[in-house]
Amino acid sequence: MEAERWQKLDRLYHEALQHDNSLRPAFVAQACAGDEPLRDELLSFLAGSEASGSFLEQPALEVAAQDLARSASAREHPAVIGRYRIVRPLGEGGMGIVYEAEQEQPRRVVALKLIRPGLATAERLWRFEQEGQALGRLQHPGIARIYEAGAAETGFGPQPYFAMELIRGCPLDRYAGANRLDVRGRLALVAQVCEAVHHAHQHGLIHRDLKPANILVDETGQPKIVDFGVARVTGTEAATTHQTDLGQLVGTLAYMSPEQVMGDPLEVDTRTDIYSLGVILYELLSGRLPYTVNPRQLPEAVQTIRENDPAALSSINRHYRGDIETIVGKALEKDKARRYVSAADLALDIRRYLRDEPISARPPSTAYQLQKFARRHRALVAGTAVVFLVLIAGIAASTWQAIRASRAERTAVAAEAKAVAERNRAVAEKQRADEEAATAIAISDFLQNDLLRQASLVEQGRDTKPDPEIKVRTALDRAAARIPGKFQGRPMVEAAIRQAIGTTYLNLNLPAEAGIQMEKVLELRRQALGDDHPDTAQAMQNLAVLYNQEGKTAQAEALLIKVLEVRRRTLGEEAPLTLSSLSSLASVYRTEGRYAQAEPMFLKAVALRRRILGEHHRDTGMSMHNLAVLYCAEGKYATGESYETKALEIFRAVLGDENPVTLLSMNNLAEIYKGEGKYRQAESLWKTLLEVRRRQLGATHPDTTAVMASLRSVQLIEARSEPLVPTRP
Amino acid sequence: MEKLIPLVYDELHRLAQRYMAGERPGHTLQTTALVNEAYLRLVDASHAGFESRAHFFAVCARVMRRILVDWARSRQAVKRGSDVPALELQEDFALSGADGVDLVALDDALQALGAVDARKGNIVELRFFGGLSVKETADVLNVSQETVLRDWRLAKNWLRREMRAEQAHGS
Repeated sequence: MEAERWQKLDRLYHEALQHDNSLRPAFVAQACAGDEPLRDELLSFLAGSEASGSFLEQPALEVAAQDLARSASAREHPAVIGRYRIVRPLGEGGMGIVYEAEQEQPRRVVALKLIRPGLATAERLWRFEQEGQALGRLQHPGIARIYEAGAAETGFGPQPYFAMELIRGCPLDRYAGANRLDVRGRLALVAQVCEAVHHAHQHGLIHRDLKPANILVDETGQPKIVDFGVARVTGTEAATTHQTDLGQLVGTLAYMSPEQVMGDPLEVDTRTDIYSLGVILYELLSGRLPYTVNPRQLPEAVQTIRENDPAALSSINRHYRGDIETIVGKALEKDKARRYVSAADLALDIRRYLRDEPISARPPSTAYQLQKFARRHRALVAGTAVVFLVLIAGIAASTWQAIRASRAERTAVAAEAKAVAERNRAVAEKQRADEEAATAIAISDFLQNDLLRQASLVEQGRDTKPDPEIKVRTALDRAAARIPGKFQGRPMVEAAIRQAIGTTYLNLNLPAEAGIQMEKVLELRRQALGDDHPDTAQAMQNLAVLYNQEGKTAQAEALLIKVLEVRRRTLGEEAPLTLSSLSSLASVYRTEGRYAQAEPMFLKAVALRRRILGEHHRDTGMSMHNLAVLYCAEGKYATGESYETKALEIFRAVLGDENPVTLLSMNNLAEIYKGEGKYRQAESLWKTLLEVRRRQLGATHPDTTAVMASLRSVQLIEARSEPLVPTRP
Repeated sequence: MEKLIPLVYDELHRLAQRYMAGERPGHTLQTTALVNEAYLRLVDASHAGFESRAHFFAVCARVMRRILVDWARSRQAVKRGSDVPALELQEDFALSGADGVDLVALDDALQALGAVDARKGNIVELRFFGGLSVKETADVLNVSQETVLRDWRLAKNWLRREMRAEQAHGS
């Protein structure tokens, strides 16, 4: 085409495009009058501009890439491999293509898996066939048989293959969905899989790539695991395909254990399969994977699998609270040492659950959960550790108390059940185990979700401004506010939690807040256990001591009279706890100035404690100290001095020279000396005390300066009593 | 050129893999990013005497054209060499996007176009092989964007007609 003609065409083409569709034919006819070839060409261009569509709109590089992708997906299939006649391709997996094939001798249909030839050295092929024979010896209804591992000569070098049992079925997850299996059905199915896995483990074979796609359920409902041991033999296990086959990894990564994603083959053992079974179980029950991992962000995915805890099953469906959650949680432990020891144990626990028997797995202990919490929030925990520790210690202790309490409740229940029907023993036992587990769960849930999680910036950020310096006070207030309604039907758990929170308030010197919690504790225990229960009495005692400190002596007195009555009746006149209540009541009377009532009670306490607990006992000393305070208040310093001296001696021997109680007693004795005018003895005691306080608390602490003031006061008195100016002879 | 080849090939295979994974890469960005990367690598390394960034883009588009057309030609040779008909797997990869383009035929047609209208030939080379946008193409050629669009439209039409004619002729 000559240049002028082309340029004319170019110009007319663009001019034509300026015209409306309706006017265009007229324009073309006029412009090309007398030049029919030009007119036809122009018309064809104009027609083409509507139809050219996506032509050339995609850059060449991408066009080429698509071409490459398209041709890679179209592959040629051989007619025969070794002794097998290829019928049709079944699909393609990570390690190669799978065919349905026919074998002549024996006559059977097999699944023939061709392994990507990459292990073509003679030695490796020999090894491959040897290990294939080991796999062939594995016979279990839950495992697809491997008939043969071999290599066929293809003309392009040896082609390794597996001939295995052809399973006509569908993958585990699809089967469960298509047959609308309920929870029990799903659990039973996984238990079967676990038993098959255990069989292979006993033969020294680890699957390493367990996932629903590798577990086919046949038409009889029998799950069959395919590719057992194949991953290791062929070196195509998931961990080694990280970089090369992302698409394959998508379906695999989520089932990989923490040790597996780290890519350390030495760490991978049978417990890796148990972890994968846990993922499968979690997925079958909840309809989702424990972790969302993206293989394209491998470092993040690995970190997630290694460090994050999956959403609790019970948060997806409350039905899974308790045993199911515990079973799945144990299989999914990050630390393989904490998982089930064997797949058989996992199967056993599932079956126990299905038979309503107590399971062997225990929910993670509070201490363990605290460790995990601390690991996750290391920095934050370090910052708030000291104050939270007080709380944690309290809650850990009350967890145990609550379990003990609910055990006591149940003893009654169980005894009744026993009377009704002895054969229900197993049920009662199961109930016991359930309840203990549930109590521990309830407490640790609250601990984690309502209290400690507040220390997490993320959680705080949800509805409030993040506060890295969150005060224990604030955390406690919020936690306390969340209690109501949270422990329906579990009064003992609620009481234990409130007790811990109340104690912490007390430690923070917030007696009013502590009182609210302790009143509630008492109410809960009264309702659930009755007035005479030891735990109710203890709650009364605690609250009374608090009231007394706050100056609410009347309330304290009323409570203590009640406790004393209960303890006398239930425990006896001389029981240590009875004496403790007796002393407390005497202290209230002393505070109220009713010395005449207090004195005989204290004397009685001293006498009984001396006899029952012995002379060298902290409580005996305490009674003597209380008596000394009373005598001093009455101005009877000499008697007071003898009791306090004795008490101090006991405290020094039993508690040590620098125990707070010892120091308190020392201070008291010094005051008595001072009151008696024994200034030098008072000065000497206070000097000793000051030295300890300075060392323990520093020079500016109020307790230190108080001692300093006391010391100064006796020194001044002594100075004044001496002549100011010595007289010269 | 030698330095660019591995870059292009790597990108080609990476892209192909993404297509095979059923993913559709972002339009044109891939090529542009590749060219930019090449610019940074090559210009710095050799001070290859590119007068400008625009000039470099033009050279890059030409190089891409040569690499990709050579690659397509070699693949055609391989295909012709084997008679075995390819049997599609049941689960074929769903390939999205435009129909394939015979890069070898396009190269021939583009040669013819360049002979009668050099500017249109350049525009196709920059846009299709170089992955440049209309604006970038206009900047490189120092013409208006309207001109690029007009030329692009007609050039595509012409090339398509030419390639069809050639195909009918050849078979």
